[in-house]
Formats: sequence, structure tokens, C-alpha cells
Amino acid sequence: MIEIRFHGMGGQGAVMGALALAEAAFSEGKYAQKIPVYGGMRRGGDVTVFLRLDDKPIRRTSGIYEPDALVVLDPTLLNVAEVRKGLKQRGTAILNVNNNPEEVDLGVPLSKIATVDATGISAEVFGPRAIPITNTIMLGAVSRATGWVKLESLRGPILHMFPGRMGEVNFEACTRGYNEVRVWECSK
Amino acid sequence: MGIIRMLEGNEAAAWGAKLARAEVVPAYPITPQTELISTIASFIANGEMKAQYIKVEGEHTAMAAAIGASAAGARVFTASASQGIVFMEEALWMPPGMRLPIVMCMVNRAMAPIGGLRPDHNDSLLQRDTGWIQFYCENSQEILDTVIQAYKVGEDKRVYLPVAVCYDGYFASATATPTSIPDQKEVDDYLPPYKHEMYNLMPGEFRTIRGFPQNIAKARYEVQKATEKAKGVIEEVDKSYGEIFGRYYDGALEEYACDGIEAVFMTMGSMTGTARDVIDEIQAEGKKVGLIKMRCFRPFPTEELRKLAKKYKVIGIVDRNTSYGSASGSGIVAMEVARALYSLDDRPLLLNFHVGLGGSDVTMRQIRYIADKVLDAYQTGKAEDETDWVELKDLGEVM
Repeated sequence: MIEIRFHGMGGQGAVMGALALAEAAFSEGKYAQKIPVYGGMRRGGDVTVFLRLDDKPIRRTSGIYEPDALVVLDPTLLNVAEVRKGLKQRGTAILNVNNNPEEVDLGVPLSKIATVDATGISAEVFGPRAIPITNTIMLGAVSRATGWVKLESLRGPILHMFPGRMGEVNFEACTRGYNEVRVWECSK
Repeated sequence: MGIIRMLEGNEAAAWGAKLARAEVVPAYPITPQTELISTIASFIANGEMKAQYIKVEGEHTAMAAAIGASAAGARVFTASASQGIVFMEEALWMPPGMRLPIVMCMVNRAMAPIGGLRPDHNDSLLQRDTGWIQFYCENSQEILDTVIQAYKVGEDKRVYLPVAVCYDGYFASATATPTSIPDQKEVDDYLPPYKHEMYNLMPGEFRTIRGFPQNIAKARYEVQKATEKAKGVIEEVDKSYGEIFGRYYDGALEEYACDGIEAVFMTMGSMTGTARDVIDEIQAEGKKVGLIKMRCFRPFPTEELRKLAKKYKVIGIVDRNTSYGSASGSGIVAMEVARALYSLDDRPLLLNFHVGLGGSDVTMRQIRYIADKVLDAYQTGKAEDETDWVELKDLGEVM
């Protein structure tokens, strides 16, 4: 079982992003589970989503406190203690930050760090916003960095979530995340 | 054959109501139930579901409308949570006495104050005396299946009672997992249209909505009898559902990994899934502790529990609720279990754990702690604490 924790701000699409990843994994024949944890639904508030992927049915419903992987949708969240907390040694981090992965220090030795300037891509694709939409961009980065799901598997769930033209725009954003992510295999 | 989709618990409940062909849905939104009724509203708006959605100004009116529609012969579905359920409570006493098989999802959420939007079971357990049958579900699949089963149980002529399908906010309501959606035709065959025959007056049979004082005890005893009869109907319905759809829930109580085991603990709701993983882990370490899932709290499965109790030397009861100042400071489930087992000559040792209160998460470590305490009690023959507030213990959790 892979246990992944998503962190974002309300409005960035962490819940929908995690669900799209779960749907993509499910479409590849894996079992997936998404649990969102938020307070009142509002823009700008912190959002945490737990995502589990496995080859067999997933039964536990508890939160993920010692994740195998972190997906962080906003650079401002990287310094928040709650976001870094519990990440497993030899784990994986996929981050929206405009740095090289070699420059990132999350306080534990990791096996893989991937960075992508999702905020920059978001401004180009969706236009500049106070709270940039980064979820689908991060999904592309996750796909490339981890291989948990194929890029093509994300297409269906994304088109389903955003009917009409926005679906294509979001899949384009996802593809840019896939192409522009920088992956560092730290242990090599 | 149906299809399998990623469904959140709330969506699964909406699918259950749709497949059961609920005809009237009076409802008022409240977190964490909102996605359930918004899904139903979009089913109706899309023309996928033929039902009357009644927008009301509050939960009390939602139940009043449900009562009226059900008494007029419609199949009725509604849902609420937390303060909403309690606001509706005055009206909740009517359907059992009127013998109206309304189905309602109670999406568990802790009561104020302090509690956020996440679950404990006090909101639905507060309604335990009203006469509603109560199921507690573990995940999306069980929610969908139980909504359909709930109509089959409630509308059975031997029962004619309303049924509450309870499940935890967030950890079940917003958790998406692969869920099998049965075929509409198979559900139609299993659950024919509702026909309320209770109000056909028959000579020699006692029925009343409003009675004289001398009849009230009799009317209430009829509800009590129907509740008792529901036990057998719940078993039957679960079995016949399993034969068609391939999924069984073992009626009111399920034993998990209990072969050759003499020490168990009992859970309700979404924490059961977490407990299954913990049981597998600790049994692999050689610790002999098993799990009982309580699926049906009303009617309370007294006879079944007594049968199980003969096999077990220790039963730990995990209560996701509080009853301040109760007997021994026990949770609500523990008090019921104690009463049910008191008349046995050879009683198991009972332990009681409070966990997940005010909506906090029930973690793997907490469940492991509970399993260890149950094992300690089994080995020493005595309980360290009568009632253990697990969340106050430092378990070295990274949270």
C-alpha cells in the first residue's frame, strides 16, 4: 500500500486532484481510496487529503500521519510544520516550488524529490490568480515522478471533472506538469 | 450485472435511494450530509430519478414532510446530521408510532460544542429510544447496500418501522472507494414498489395513530414487538440480498478473524475497517485478539450477543460517544452490552474504551492500544480501567 498526503489551500483543487488520481489508479485496475479532511469549505483555508493506492481492497479509514509520499500544491505550505510532519524516511515528495529538487530540504532523507513550478504554469494556462489552481499540473508531475499512474489514465478523470473546454485546458496543464517536473533520485 | 465506480459514502447513499426508487425526498442540507442530498437533487434534475424533492426551511419540517408523504403511501428518503437530527427529534418520534417505513441517512457528526464537523455517534445514538431501526455502516459499499436493505426491512409487514442508516461523516461520507452499483432491474425485482397495508383496518387487530390513554401502552408494545421481529427480518433480508448481489454483512453482528480466539473488541462504523487491518497485523505477531463489528444497534442484537459471549472471556467495547455521568462512566454501547449479558451465568469480562470523540480520527495506534488492553485483561483476568479514554493516552502518535 502507498499512503500519500496532499496539502493545498482551499480553491487549489487538492480534493479534486486526489480524486482524479484515485480514479486514474482505479481505471488501471488498482484499488484506491480518497479521504478529504477540511474544516468548513472555504477558499484559502488549509486542505489535507489522504490518498491510498493498493493492489488489494483498502479497508482502513484512518488518516495518514506517516505518509510514504507528500504532494504539496503551494510553495507557501512547505514551511508549515504540519505539512512536513511524519513524512517517512526514504519517502517521496512532489512539490510545487520553483527550485531544483537538489535544493529542497524537508528534514528527512528521502529517496525521491520532484519539483515543478506549478504556480508559474498555472498563471500561463489559467491566468494569474490570488490562489493559483495547481491540482491538475501536480497530477502530471506525480505521474512522471512516480509512475503510480500513466499520464493517459489521468485524461478520463480530468475530462469528467471539468466538462467542456476546461477539461482539455486542464489536461494540457497536467501534461505540462508531466513534461516540466524535475525529478531527483536522491539515493543514487 | 452492475458497474463499479469510485463513490464517496454520500454518493453511495444517493445511489441506494435512487435504486430503491424513493419517490419523495424532503431534505435540508447540513455538513457532512450535503453531498448526499445534492447528488439526489442532480439525479432528479437530470431526469435519472423520478422523485419529488421538497426543499424545506429546516430539518423539523423535513421530517414532518417525510411523515406526511409516507402516510400517503410514498416511499420516502431523507438525511441529516448532528444538530440537524436533534432539531428534527420531536418529529422523529412519530414515524415508529405511525408505523411509517421512512429511510433516513444519519451522517454522523459530533454535537456542539467544541466538535468540528467530523464524526462521533452521539447524534444518532441520542435517537435510540425513538423506535427507529439503526444500522451503522463501514464504507461506501455497505452504505449503498444497506439503504436498499433498509427499505426491505422497514416495509416488511412484520416490521413497518422507519430505518436509520448511520455512517461517519468524512471517514465514510467523503471517502471515495470502488463501489459496486447493482443493476436497476435486479433491485426492482428484489424490492417491489411500496404498498402500505398497515392502515387497512382489520377486525381484531389493533392499530392507532392517536389513541385514548388506555390504548397507549398497547400501541407502544406493538412497536416494541415489531422491533423484536425486525431482528429476524434483518437476518433474512441480508441473506436474500447476498444471494442476489453477492455481498453479505452477517446481519446484526459480524465476527472478524475470531477462530480459536477468546478475547475480542467490538467496533461500530468506519473505524471497523481500520480495526480489520490492525487485527491482521497483530495476529501475524501472534497476539490472539479478534474483532466484532456491531452493524445493527436497534434492535439491539441481545440473543446473538449472548451466543457470542459464551465463546469469549473478554469483550472490549469501543464507544465513539459519551454519556456524561452514566453508570461506570460507560459509553452507550457498553451500557447496552452489559445489560444484555448480565443475565448470563458465566459472563465475560467487559472493558470499555472511549475513542474518536468530537470527531477526532480513530488511528491504527489507538486500535492497537485497545487490542493490547484486551489481551492484558485476558491474560491477567482483570480490567485495569473500567472505562478508558484512549485519546488522553500518549501513544507517541505523530499527528
